[in-house]
Amino acid sequence: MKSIAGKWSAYMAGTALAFLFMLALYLFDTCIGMSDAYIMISEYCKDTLSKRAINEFPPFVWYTGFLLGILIGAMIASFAGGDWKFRLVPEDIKEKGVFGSLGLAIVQGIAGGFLVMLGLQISGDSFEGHWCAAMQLSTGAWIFIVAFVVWSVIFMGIYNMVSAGGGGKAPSAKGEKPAKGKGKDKD
Amino acid sequence: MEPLALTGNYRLAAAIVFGMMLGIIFIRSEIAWRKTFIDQFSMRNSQLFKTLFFSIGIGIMLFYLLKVTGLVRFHIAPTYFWGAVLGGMICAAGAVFCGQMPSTAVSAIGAGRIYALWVFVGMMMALPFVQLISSGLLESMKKWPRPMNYAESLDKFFTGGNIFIWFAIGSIIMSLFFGFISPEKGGRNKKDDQE
Repeated sequence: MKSIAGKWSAYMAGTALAFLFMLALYLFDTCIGMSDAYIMISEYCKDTLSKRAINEFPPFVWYTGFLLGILIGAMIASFAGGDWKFRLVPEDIKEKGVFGSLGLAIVQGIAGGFLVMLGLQISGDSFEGHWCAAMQLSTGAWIFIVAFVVWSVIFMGIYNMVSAGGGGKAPSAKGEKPAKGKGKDKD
Repeated sequence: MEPLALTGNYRLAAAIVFGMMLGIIFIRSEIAWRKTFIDQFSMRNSQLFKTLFFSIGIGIMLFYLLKVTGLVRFHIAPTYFWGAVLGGMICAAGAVFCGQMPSTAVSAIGAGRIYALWVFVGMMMALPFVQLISSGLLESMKKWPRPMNYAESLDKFFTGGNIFIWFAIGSIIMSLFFGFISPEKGGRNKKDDQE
């Protein structure tokens, strides 16, 4: 129980993830990833919207089961560790008023999610798929990971510069020292 | 020996258990939190990249041992040089905005961070768009010139020595490097985070 409630170091988590990905290769004989589940749910949403009626349940196959498993596992771990918090807006978004913060959270979430999935689809695999393929020395996966690591740091630098120049209000993104009791949340 | 390759309900049950384990690891290692991504990209906390490269280092060695015994097989999705480069770049831009990946977004929703639902919605909206551009941009991207010696797997580039061992060592060094350039604060623990 202590292992589910306490914080894991990067080395412990990395070892666990390596064993888990190899276990997946053995059990499923494929690299496990989220893309197929997302595509299935997206197709289901598209069909439901075009028919304007919910006639059947979403597909429940092993891809979507995997997605459900992550949700359940995250709930168990967060409840066990006392990390479960109902939050509509991330801690680092501090726009004026609830609707300002909520609006920015919505825009950032949708725009960011859109770009993340677009990038993953262009690269040809899910993030876990690339992660697992890098363990098999896939050239494409290594190129993707190197590009991701390098560009994420560059883009964050640009984002910080733009938000600092424009009077940005995201203290955790600007490198400011957060006020006592604020900005230390895990969100 | 061969991979187990579960089918039917066994596969479904195993996928749910596997997903649960992944969800627990994401929460306990703090990879599920938006702050972990933002702090990593700002190089203030290297939890994400340390976990990524350390798991790859261990995974390469495990994969090599399991492949020799025949328990696992190569499963590499076909990727294209420019697809991987551009994809990594666009994905990084998105992650800077939302601080999530598809699986960590689901973990964050499970931990009550409802704002991750918008990330999920954004990802859902991207899929029809990819279908729209797939016949144009994605097809032409496959025809763009790529490096002459591009091969599907890295072991085909090198001869002599065991390339798996070298890449495993290189990944673990990368993990230590990220730990060195932005070390976690010594006193940082769960209690500090919640203060």
